[in-house]
Amino acid sequence: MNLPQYPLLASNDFKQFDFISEGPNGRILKTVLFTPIEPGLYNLGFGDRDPETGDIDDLAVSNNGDTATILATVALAVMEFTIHFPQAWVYAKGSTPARTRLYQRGIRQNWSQIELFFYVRGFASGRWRKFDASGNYEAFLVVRN
Amino acid sequence: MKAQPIRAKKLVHSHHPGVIVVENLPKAKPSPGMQARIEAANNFLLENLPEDWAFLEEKDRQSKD
Repeated sequence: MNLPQYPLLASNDFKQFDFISEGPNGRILKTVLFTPIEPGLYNLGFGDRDPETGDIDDLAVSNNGDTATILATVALAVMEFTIHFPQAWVYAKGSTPARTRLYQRGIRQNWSQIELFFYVRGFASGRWRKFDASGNYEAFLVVRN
Repeated sequence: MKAQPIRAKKLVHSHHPGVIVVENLPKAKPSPGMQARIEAANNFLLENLPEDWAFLEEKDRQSKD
Protein backbone atom coordinates (compact mmCIF):
# COMPACT_ATOMS: atom_id res chain seq x y z
CA MET A 1 0.00 0.00 0.00
CA ASN A 2 1.26 3.43 -0.87
CA LEU A 3 0.56 4.97 2.50
CA PRO A 4 3.10 6.22 5.02
CA GLN A 5 4.15 3.42 7.35
CA TYR A 6 6.41 3.22 10.36
CA PRO A 7 9.49 0.99 10.15
CA LEU A 8 8.64 -2.41 11.61
CA LEU A 9 10.81 -4.62 13.77
CA ALA A 10 9.89 -8.27 13.29
CA SER A 11 10.70 -11.21 15.54
CA ASN A 12 12.58 -13.92 13.71
CA ASP A 13 9.52 -16.20 13.85
CA PHE A 14 7.50 -13.39 12.17
CA LYS A 15 4.74 -13.55 14.77
CA GLN A 16 5.55 -10.30 16.56
CA PHE A 17 6.04 -6.87 14.99
CA ASP A 18 6.98 -3.71 16.88
CA PHE A 19 7.01 -0.11 15.79
CA ILE A 20 7.14 3.36 17.30
CA SER A 21 4.28 5.81 16.86
CA GLU A 22 5.52 9.38 16.80
CA GLY A 23 3.33 12.39 17.42
CA PRO A 24 2.32 15.15 19.80
CA ASN A 25 2.07 12.70 22.69
CA GLY A 26 5.57 11.40 22.14
CA ARG A 27 7.09 8.12 20.98
CA ILE A 28 4.84 5.19 21.80
CA LEU A 29 5.83 1.56 21.37
CA LYS A 30 3.18 -0.48 19.53
CA THR A 31 3.07 -4.23 18.98
CA VAL A 32 1.22 -6.44 16.52
CA LEU A 33 1.03 -10.01 17.77
CA PHE A 34 -0.16 -13.06 15.84
CA THR A 35 -1.21 -15.80 18.24
CA PRO A 36 -2.32 -19.25 17.09
CA ILE A 37 -5.93 -20.29 17.66
CA GLU A 38 -5.86 -23.53 15.70
CA PRO A 39 -3.35 -24.82 13.16
CA GLY A 40 -3.50 -22.37 10.26
CA LEU A 41 -5.63 -19.85 12.13
CA TYR A 42 -4.17 -16.83 13.97
CA ASN A 43 -5.56 -14.01 16.06
CA LEU A 44 -4.25 -10.54 15.27
CA GLY A 45 -3.67 -8.63 18.50
CA PHE A 46 -2.56 -5.03 18.56
CA GLY A 47 -1.91 -2.35 21.13
CA ASP A 48 0.50 -0.17 23.07
CA ARG A 49 3.26 -2.04 24.81
CA ASP A 50 4.70 -1.39 28.24
CA PRO A 51 8.45 -1.62 27.54
CA GLU A 52 9.12 -2.68 31.13
CA THR A 53 6.64 -5.55 31.48
CA GLY A 54 6.19 -6.43 27.80
CA ASP A 55 2.42 -6.30 28.29
CA ILE A 56 0.33 -5.15 25.33
CA ASP A 57 -2.65 -2.95 26.19
CA ASP A 58 -5.21 -3.16 23.41
CA LEU A 59 -7.43 -0.52 25.03
CA ALA A 60 -4.80 2.22 25.25
CA VAL A 61 -5.68 5.46 23.49
CA SER A 62 -2.56 7.32 22.42
CA ASN A 63 -4.14 10.19 20.44
CA ASN A 64 -0.91 10.67 18.56
CA GLY A 65 -2.58 11.96 15.42
CA ASP A 66 -1.25 9.14 13.24
CA THR A 67 -4.14 6.68 12.94
CA ALA A 68 -3.76 6.23 9.18
CA THR A 69 -0.03 5.57 9.48
CA ILE A 70 -0.65 3.09 12.29
CA LEU A 71 -3.28 1.20 10.28
CA ALA A 72 -0.98 1.09 7.27
CA THR A 73 1.81 -0.26 9.49
CA VAL A 74 -0.46 -2.96 10.93
CA ALA A 75 -1.38 -3.85 7.33
CA LEU A 76 2.33 -4.14 6.52
CA ALA A 77 2.70 -6.55 9.44
CA VAL A 78 -0.14 -8.67 8.02
CA MET A 79 1.53 -8.60 4.60
CA GLU A 80 4.86 -9.75 6.02
CA PHE A 81 3.28 -12.37 8.32
CA THR A 82 1.30 -13.93 5.48
CA ILE A 83 4.38 -14.14 3.29
CA HIS A 84 5.84 -16.47 5.89
CA PHE A 85 2.51 -18.18 6.65
CA PRO A 86 0.76 -18.10 3.28
CA GLN A 87 -1.88 -20.66 4.28
CA ALA A 88 -2.80 -18.88 7.50
CA TRP A 89 -6.13 -17.22 8.10
CA VAL A 90 -5.81 -14.09 10.22
CA TYR A 91 -8.71 -13.23 12.49
CA ALA A 92 -9.10 -9.57 13.42
CA LYS A 93 -11.63 -8.05 15.75
CA GLY A 94 -11.13 -4.70 17.41
CA SER A 95 -10.87 -4.56 21.19
CA THR A 96 -13.93 -2.28 21.09
CA PRO A 97 -16.71 -1.84 18.50
CA ALA A 98 -15.17 1.54 17.60
CA ARG A 99 -11.86 -0.12 16.80
CA THR A 100 -13.55 -2.79 14.74
CA ARG A 101 -15.17 0.03 12.75
CA LEU A 102 -11.74 1.61 12.39
CA TYR A 103 -10.37 -1.63 10.92
CA GLN A 104 -13.37 -1.73 8.59
CA ARG A 105 -12.73 1.82 7.39
CA GLY A 106 -9.09 0.94 6.78
CA ILE A 107 -10.03 -2.11 4.71
CA ARG A 108 -12.69 -0.16 2.82
CA GLN A 109 -10.41 2.77 2.00
CA ASN A 110 -7.68 0.48 0.70
CA TRP A 111 -9.89 -2.23 -0.75
CA SER A 112 -8.63 -1.92 -4.33
CA GLN A 113 -5.16 -2.89 -3.17
CA ILE A 114 -6.13 -5.31 -0.42
CA GLU A 115 -8.23 -7.49 -2.72
CA LEU A 116 -5.22 -8.02 -4.94
CA PHE A 117 -3.50 -9.90 -2.13
CA PHE A 118 -6.18 -11.14 0.25
CA TYR A 119 -9.40 -13.04 0.36
CA VAL A 120 -11.41 -11.21 3.04
CA ARG A 121 -14.47 -12.32 4.98
CA GLY A 122 -16.51 -10.22 7.38
CA PHE A 123 -18.85 -11.52 10.08
CA ALA A 124 -22.29 -9.91 10.00
CA SER A 125 -25.80 -10.98 11.01
CA GLY A 126 -24.62 -14.31 12.31
CA ARG A 127 -22.50 -15.52 9.43
CA TRP A 128 -19.34 -14.97 7.46
CA ARG A 129 -19.72 -13.11 4.19
CA LYS A 130 -17.45 -12.05 1.40
CA PHE A 131 -16.26 -8.56 2.32
CA ASP A 132 -18.26 -5.82 0.69
CA ALA A 133 -17.15 -2.23 1.07
CA SER A 134 -20.71 -1.16 1.88
CA GLY A 135 -21.19 -3.73 4.63
CA ASN A 136 -20.78 -3.47 8.39
CA TYR A 137 -18.94 -6.28 10.12
CA GLU A 138 -18.20 -7.46 13.64
CA ALA A 139 -14.94 -9.25 12.80
CA PHE A 140 -12.73 -10.12 9.85
CA LEU A 141 -10.87 -13.10 8.47
CA VAL A 142 -8.20 -12.70 5.82
CA VAL A 143 -6.06 -15.19 3.95
CA ARG A 144 -3.67 -14.75 1.05
CA ASN A 145 -5.21 -15.17 -2.40
CA MET B 1 3.07 5.56 27.85
CA LYS B 2 6.50 6.52 26.50
CA ALA B 3 8.50 3.93 24.61
CA GLN B 4 12.07 3.00 25.28
CA PRO B 5 14.45 2.22 22.40
CA ILE B 6 14.47 -1.38 21.24
CA ARG B 7 17.97 -2.81 21.23
CA ALA B 8 18.75 -5.43 18.64
CA LYS B 9 21.79 -7.65 18.34
CA LYS B 10 21.45 -8.99 14.84
CA LEU B 11 19.44 -8.24 11.73
CA VAL B 12 18.38 -10.90 9.27
CA HIS B 13 16.30 -11.08 6.11
CA SER B 14 12.75 -9.78 5.60
CA HIS B 15 10.59 -9.48 2.50
CA HIS B 16 9.39 -5.87 2.63
CA PRO B 17 11.51 -2.76 2.77
CA GLY B 18 10.70 -1.20 6.11
CA VAL B 19 10.59 -4.56 7.90
CA ILE B 20 13.70 -5.33 9.92
CA VAL B 21 13.99 -8.78 11.41
CA VAL B 22 15.48 -8.77 14.87
CA GLU B 23 16.90 -11.89 16.41
CA ASN B 24 16.33 -10.85 20.00
CA LEU B 25 13.24 -8.69 19.79
CA PRO B 26 11.97 -8.26 23.37
CA LYS B 27 9.02 -10.60 23.73
CA ALA B 28 5.59 -9.07 24.11
CA LYS B 29 2.56 -10.63 25.75
CA PRO B 30 -1.06 -9.60 25.99
CA SER B 31 -2.10 -7.83 29.18
CA PRO B 32 -4.50 -9.93 31.31
CA GLY B 33 -7.48 -7.97 29.98
CA MET B 34 -6.33 -8.32 26.40
CA GLN B 35 -5.71 -12.05 26.91
CA ALA B 36 -9.28 -12.45 28.13
CA ARG B 37 -10.58 -10.60 25.06
CA ILE B 38 -8.43 -12.76 22.76
CA GLU B 39 -9.79 -15.93 24.34
CA ALA B 40 -13.36 -14.70 24.05
CA ALA B 41 -12.78 -13.76 20.41
CA ASN B 42 -11.16 -17.09 19.70
CA ASN B 43 -14.05 -18.98 21.26
CA PHE B 44 -16.47 -16.91 19.23
CA LEU B 45 -14.57 -17.72 16.05
CA LEU B 46 -14.33 -21.44 16.78
CA GLU B 47 -18.09 -21.50 17.32
CA ASN B 48 -18.64 -19.57 14.11
CA LEU B 49 -16.14 -20.93 11.63
CA PRO B 50 -16.86 -19.82 8.08
CA GLU B 51 -18.74 -22.22 5.87
CA ASP B 52 -15.82 -22.33 3.48
CA TRP B 53 -13.34 -23.28 6.17
CA ALA B 54 -12.55 -26.24 3.93
CA PHE B 55 -10.99 -23.69 1.59
CA LEU B 56 -8.15 -23.38 4.07
CA GLU B 57 -7.78 -27.13 4.44
CA GLU B 58 -7.70 -27.50 0.67
CA LYS B 59 -5.04 -24.81 0.33
CA ASP B 60 -3.06 -26.49 3.08
CA ARG B 61 -3.37 -29.90 1.44
CA GLN B 62 -2.27 -28.52 -1.92
CA SER B 63 0.77 -26.89 -0.35
CA LYS B 64 1.87 -30.26 1.01
CA ASP B 65 1.33 -32.18 -2.25
